[in-house]
Amino acid sequence: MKKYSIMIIICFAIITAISSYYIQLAIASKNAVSFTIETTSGDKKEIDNLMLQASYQSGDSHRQLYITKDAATLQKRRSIISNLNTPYEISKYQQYFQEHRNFMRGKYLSPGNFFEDDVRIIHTTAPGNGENVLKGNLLTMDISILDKKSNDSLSFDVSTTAQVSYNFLLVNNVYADNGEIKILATGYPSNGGSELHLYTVDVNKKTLLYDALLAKEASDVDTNSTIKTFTDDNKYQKDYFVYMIDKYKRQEEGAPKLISSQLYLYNNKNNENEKLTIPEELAPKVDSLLLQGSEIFIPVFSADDLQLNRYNIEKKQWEKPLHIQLASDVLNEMVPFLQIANDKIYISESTTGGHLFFIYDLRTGKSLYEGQIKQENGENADYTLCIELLTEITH
Amino acid sequence: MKSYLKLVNFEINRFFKLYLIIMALTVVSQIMGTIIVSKGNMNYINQVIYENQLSVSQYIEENRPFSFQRVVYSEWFTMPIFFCMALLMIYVFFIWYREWFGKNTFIYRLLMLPAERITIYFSKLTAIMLFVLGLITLQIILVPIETFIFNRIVPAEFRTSYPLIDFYSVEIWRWLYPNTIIEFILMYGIGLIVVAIIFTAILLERSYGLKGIFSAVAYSVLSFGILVAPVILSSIYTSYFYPSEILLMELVTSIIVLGSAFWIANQLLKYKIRV
Amino acid sequence: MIEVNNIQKKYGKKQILNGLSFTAKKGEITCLIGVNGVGKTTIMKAIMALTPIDSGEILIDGQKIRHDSFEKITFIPDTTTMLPTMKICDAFEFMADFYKSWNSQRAEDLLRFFKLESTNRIGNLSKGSLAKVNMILGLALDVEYVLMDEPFSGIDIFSREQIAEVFTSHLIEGRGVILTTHEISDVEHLIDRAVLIDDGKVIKQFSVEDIRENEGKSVVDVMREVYR
Repeated sequence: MKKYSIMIIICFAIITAISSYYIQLAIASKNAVSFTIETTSGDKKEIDNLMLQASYQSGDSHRQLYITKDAATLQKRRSIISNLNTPYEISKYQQYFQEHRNFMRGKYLSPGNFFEDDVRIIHTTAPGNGENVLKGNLLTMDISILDKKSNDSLSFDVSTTAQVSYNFLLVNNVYADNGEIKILATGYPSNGGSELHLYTVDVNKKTLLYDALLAKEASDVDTNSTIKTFTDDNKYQKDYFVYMIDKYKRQEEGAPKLISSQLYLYNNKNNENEKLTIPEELAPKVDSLLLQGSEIFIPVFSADDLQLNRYNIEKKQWEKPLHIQLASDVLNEMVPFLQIANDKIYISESTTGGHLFFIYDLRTGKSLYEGQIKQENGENADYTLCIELLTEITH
Repeated sequence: MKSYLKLVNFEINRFFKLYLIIMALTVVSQIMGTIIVSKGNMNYINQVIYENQLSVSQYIEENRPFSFQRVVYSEWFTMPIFFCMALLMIYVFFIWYREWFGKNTFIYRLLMLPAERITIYFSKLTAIMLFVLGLITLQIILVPIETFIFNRIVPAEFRTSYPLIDFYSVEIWRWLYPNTIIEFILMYGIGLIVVAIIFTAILLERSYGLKGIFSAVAYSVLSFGILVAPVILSSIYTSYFYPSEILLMELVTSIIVLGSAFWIANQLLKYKIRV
Repeated sequence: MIEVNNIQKKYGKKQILNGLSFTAKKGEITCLIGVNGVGKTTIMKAIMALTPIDSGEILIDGQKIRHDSFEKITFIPDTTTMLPTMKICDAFEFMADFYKSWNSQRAEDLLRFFKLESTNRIGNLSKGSLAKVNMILGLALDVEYVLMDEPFSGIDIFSREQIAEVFTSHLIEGRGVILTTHEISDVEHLIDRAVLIDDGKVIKQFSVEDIRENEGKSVVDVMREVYR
């Protein structure tokens, strides 16, 4: 037996070390850093289904956390196997993956590519996001329609001849009604600039009816213009979308100067395209515009106040803005986290007193919930927590 | 089975001297590196404090404290890892070729042992895996020791903790120590299959000479291609296959590739090998 | 009995073995005779499955060679089959570990007979001593068949006498021995059968004693006749 001693020692050491490493890792994952949401006031039920995705940093430790009302905080660790997936955050589509497994295969995962109503789910994309389509060649749109009741799906594609060569063509919005599908897409031609297309497809005939060029901006030596689209990421049935065209003039030194900026509102139901005027004091903040249902919000943060300006699309008027009191002792001049969903306003701020979390009613501005994101156990007292996204979890 | 264990033991004892040397080099380099990096940083900090007449808390306010991560990123830490990997890669070939070349022709004895010849193949494969995992183990043992030394040199005010769970941010660590034990088995399983492919390729060369080199290369490329086919498939048809499906496909291709590596090696060793 | 039936082997473009057949019986010492490069070593290796044959078959006691055949047959090549870093005692330990048919007592006896030290390292031995160690590694196994490749080549005369002594001793009795040599005069008085090989074939195989008694010829005489 003596001559086997080395082999036995090596095997023993390997098994001991590796198993203790992974046991320790599993324990550490559970106990290392954990946050919970502690209710200060309001209805506890508000946070029942919420999950906050946050990045935690302390010293040289960087972690991605998922915080829920339960004490245990999950951590997300990028593993080699998860790289087999698309890197995009897929928790939004969990329900789709569970219920419509085959339909979801190979679908480009971006909210703008999906449409859902009571009876069907529609997905549209340009193959490879229109990568490197050459002028004169066919530009194709792949369309998949799933009947939710029967679970049958139908796929077809429509094509048009590309007028220019594109670097990319990204679908921003899909809307379906009256046997037609309207696809809003931004194309980026290879020689610069951007185009905003609205493709109308006849579902029954499976053909492309119109290719409307809503906006086309080019860049030349002096000026540059950009098109930006704003869509409602919360719903898959979007009646409206907003787009903005900015024109810049190149400066000799420094950043380009903004010459003009114009907002447009498109109504999918009646195909109306109208210009939107924003009050002048809101113009600098227009980039943070949020579209929810039939309302447009422009949040403006000041020292201890959030002014949520609202435009009612159907009434075509700017309504009285909501004012929400914020904490005054904000840390590090960090911009508060703001997300509008489920007819509620979710805000989180890092203050000297801790990480505060608020929920307000979107209609009335009334406070529905107030709480604090507290560290349960952690090694360092000195850390920064940055909330990135709020999602709903289905149990 | 008994012959297998005896041969594994034999292979381990043969290489053990050299193995101890590279382990010692790793230990020395990493411990020295810990001391040098820690002391170096402290000397710099002390110099800054002295020159600017700062108090400790003043320094901390201006500059962030540092952690053991500095040691992990240094060459003292990473070079031995790469060096050991390179050496083991070479030994994957050398473990076979040493039986034919040099002053010994030990291959005669191996092939004339009263045991299935594939046992030679399995024992060498096992030995390589044990050597790799042994080094992995060494690193696991070293980290707490080095952290201890680091904590002794750097006073508490100037450092933050860097627990094992955060080592994940270092690229090389992510590959050597995957997230979960399941991934660990998968990763090193793939590694084992790669070594098996190389072994069979070597046997092809040893059995057929010059023609053998071509067939060895062709065989390796084909095997490796089949092995990674599911992964390549998933990157071409992005998100068409779900991870569980890709894993299943990978399991199937792994079994096919490993099985054929074993089968071909067995045929070669029994009927085609030349001394 | 070892039967070699009609084996063919090509090496590159050269047809080394071209329908070669012979037999070697237990209890006899058979010698393969031929010029350098005719393929004697190749035949030995082929019997031990140390090199492949293109066609034909080789049977040991009516069976194709298997892994446990190596407890019945052994091969003493003209190179060492142990690691140069091993001491002789390590080599013996290795053999004892793997072979049921290893006879440690006989190995010790032979070691003393050849006047070697068990603490000598194999890599440091002279050619003669190496040949002796090789012989021990083969003969200390209780096998039925022993194949020896050029047991006397490059050995000094005293070592040669020692080895020749082994041949006539009880160590060889009852076993089937095949050996090769290109120096027939060394072994003529030791062997029972001669197998003359040329051009990849067996030209003549005969009993040495019969030829001497019936035709009054020595092996060398027969060779002269046949190779002209």
